[in-house]
Amino acid sequence: MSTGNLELNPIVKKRLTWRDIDFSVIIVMFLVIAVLIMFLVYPIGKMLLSSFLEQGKPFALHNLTLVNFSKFFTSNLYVQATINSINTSVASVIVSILLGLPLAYIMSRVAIPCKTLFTSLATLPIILPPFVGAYSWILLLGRNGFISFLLRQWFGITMPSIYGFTGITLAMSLCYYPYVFLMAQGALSVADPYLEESAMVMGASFWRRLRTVIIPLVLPSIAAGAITVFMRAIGNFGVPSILGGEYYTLPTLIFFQVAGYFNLNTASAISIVSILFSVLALLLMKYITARNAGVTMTTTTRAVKQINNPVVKTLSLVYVILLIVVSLAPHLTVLLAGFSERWAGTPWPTKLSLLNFQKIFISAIRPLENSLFLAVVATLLSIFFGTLIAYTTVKKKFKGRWLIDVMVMLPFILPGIVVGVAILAAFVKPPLYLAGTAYILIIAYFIRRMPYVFRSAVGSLSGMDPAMEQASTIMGASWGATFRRVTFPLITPSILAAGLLTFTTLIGELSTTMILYSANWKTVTVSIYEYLLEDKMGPACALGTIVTVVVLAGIMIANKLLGEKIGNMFRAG
Amino acid sequence: MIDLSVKDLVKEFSGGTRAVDNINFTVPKGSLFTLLGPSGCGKTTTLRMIAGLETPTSGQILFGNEDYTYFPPHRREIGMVFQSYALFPHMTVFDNVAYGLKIRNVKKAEIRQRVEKVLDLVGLANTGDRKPSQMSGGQQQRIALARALVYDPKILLLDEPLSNLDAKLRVYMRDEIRKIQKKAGITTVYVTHDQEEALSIADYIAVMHGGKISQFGKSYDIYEHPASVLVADFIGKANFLTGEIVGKEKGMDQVSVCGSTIRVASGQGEVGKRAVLFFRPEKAYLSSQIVSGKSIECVVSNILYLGESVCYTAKVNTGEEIKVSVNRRIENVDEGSKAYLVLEPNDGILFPIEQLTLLNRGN
Repeated sequence: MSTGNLELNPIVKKRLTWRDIDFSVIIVMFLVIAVLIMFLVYPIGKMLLSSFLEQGKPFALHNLTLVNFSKFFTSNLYVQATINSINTSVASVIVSILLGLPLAYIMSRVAIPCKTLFTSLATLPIILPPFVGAYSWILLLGRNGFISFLLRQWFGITMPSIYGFTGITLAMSLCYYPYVFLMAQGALSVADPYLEESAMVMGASFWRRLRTVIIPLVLPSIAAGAITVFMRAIGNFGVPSILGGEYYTLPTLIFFQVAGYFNLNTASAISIVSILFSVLALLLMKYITARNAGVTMTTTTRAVKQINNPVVKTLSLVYVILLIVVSLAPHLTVLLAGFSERWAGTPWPTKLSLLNFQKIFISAIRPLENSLFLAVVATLLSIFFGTLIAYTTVKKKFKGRWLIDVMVMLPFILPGIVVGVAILAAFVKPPLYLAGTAYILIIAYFIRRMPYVFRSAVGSLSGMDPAMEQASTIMGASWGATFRRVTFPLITPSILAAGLLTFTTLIGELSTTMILYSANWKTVTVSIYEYLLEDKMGPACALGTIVTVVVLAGIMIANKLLGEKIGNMFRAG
Repeated sequence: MIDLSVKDLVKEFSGGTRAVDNINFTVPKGSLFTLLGPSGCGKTTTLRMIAGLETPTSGQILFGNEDYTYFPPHRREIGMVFQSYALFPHMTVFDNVAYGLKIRNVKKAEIRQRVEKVLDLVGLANTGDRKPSQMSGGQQQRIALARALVYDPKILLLDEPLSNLDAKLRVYMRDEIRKIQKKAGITTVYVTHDQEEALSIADYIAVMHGGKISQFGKSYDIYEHPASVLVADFIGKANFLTGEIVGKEKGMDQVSVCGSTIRVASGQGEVGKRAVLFFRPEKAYLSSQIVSGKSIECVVSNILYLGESVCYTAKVNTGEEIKVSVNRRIENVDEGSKAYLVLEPNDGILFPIEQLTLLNRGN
């Protein structure tokens, strides 16, 4: 079978010299592990540990205590904050479904014009920073607000106070309903139209079809959307901090513990409880999607039949426009307020000018610079490490890859304020004393937003022909050279888009920043927050306008780069 | 130029499946060697182990007399053409071809000169500025070949390089590849599942089945003297008839097939044993007259006129079907008529009957 005369020449093992060893892959693996341990495992572990220690006590086995958690049974404040969080989150979920589901149905089944435009506009609220919109509800529905004024003037109705449950639920629902809308629309547009039609042929009325066919078909997607809303709502700090007043929720309570008492131990304990809610919600989502996977969808490519009834069309159009106008009203109000010199106690601004912008260019130029600097550095870090970590999980076959995936995605589902607490707990004491520096903000921003780049890179890396890299290797390139010359250029568009998304969302970041900023490193969002506390609505809105414009510009460019796929970036879990 | 040898090579994937099961071969320097087999036979895994993209479970891979088994792939000095070509879409043709030279820090002027030379070799001069996506399938294939050859690798590996081309281009490109390979004088391993491609291009062929090499040899030997029923069936067209060895005469076996006794030169059977008689359709012919000691009675069931040849299908009296291919119509032999299958003693091979069970006919 074999030919040749091997026995004549003795076999020599090809000697390995240092040039033959690929150090780049070793260095990268080391970097990835170091970053994950240092900035993810350690902070979260430290926070967990802190929650079982009393303030000021060092770590020792006999010092471990449940006293921080016992407040959830003893302190009225804690109990109330937990109840408030659940109340506002559940209420936001319900309102989001009530708003988002009809919208999804209309967008996929009723022949109304300008659907692409409406879809984009209806997606905007989840992209714009929620707290920027939240305070303009005060302008609209506050005691002297525009709408309250009109209602009182014309109908003699006195609005309930915007502060507390009503305002928080309203602001959050109008921010988060797009999650329900997007996911339900996705399900409706791929659902087999024959199912609905066969029900119709069998004589089912619209309501009966809705109840027995349509709702069951989109239920898993509604559930996924609802749970996303719940997780976002229960972790939202900006809205309750502005519209809460004395009405505490878990995130504002955490902030109160850190800013008021600098008690990281109780803050950690509250964070853990808040994480439990998020994790429970996530598990519920996994359970629902796993149970319903593959049941409802078919491969029919036939387009869904559109309803053409003029009455239905008109009503639908009115609904869509009304919802979009109402949900974007706060952001438009911010714009208007930014450009108005006087707008207090009157329905309309009495004088429009650029005065607010002049003001902020004197006093808020530093925060603007800070925000830009922090966001740029954190974005670059996210791109660098997010891509490398994505690479290791996609291309290196080793056990426990899923663990890296979970670790990286964890900060994505954790409330921003909890990430802030974890980072502060980890880096508040020597030798890793970073509190008050730019570093601590950059680290927090980095781990919080890296999932965008990570997820995007994982997507395009797994879609890449593995032969590309193998060809490069065979031609003599080390791992590092292959990555630099072949892999990275090929995934650049999606990385760039994710980077832009990272950057823009960091410009509007509030919750993590509130825990970690210092006098030297105030950001735009902190400035807005401070203006609001001082009741300087004008400059706050001018800054808010700038943030909104930056975010919109970033999203538009990212959208161009990524196309349809951008919707995937906002999905949790 | 360098010999390539594989000794006792084994690749076991997790779960215990042996993709490659203890194979041995040596490719003499400068020759084109083909690994031929059905999909899943382990040929691509073998190629990838030679490239260093898979790590062998045991065994040795030798370049000359140097053991490269566990040597990092990027330092092996190998050229490889992938099934998908794996051309870099973000680089021009020139940059694709220049890649290996840039990695080796060759000077710019020399890179230009060598890239132009190799593009000329593959017949793609003056296309350097274009992107791979602007090129046709056949051209992309040549770029991939140029890219693999430009840095004068020790060994060239080709993984099903023609499978993405249409039939006509495939025939043309395989001749081109052979020409280029001979000009470059590089030891080459070529993986394919297409037996005609393998026969036409290779100096040496190894036929693989189930992770093992069924036969190693020159194209001619593999076709004319298959070592087993499996190889005989996989390469070219084959007829099999079962019979019994009834005697010996002048070093030949006398076989009783379907009531007739014929002589077969090759095969070493024992008298009294059952055996499989194998012959190629174009080695036999049909006659209306009986030829003593060389013919088997049959009934013609179908005649297919193919232009360059005529294909006869006939049934012997056991119901087994045979095919005979001749270059012109045979007189007095029509559909439904009785005829005699005539086979010269040197054109038939006897195999042990047990080998027949390994066959999966019907595909």
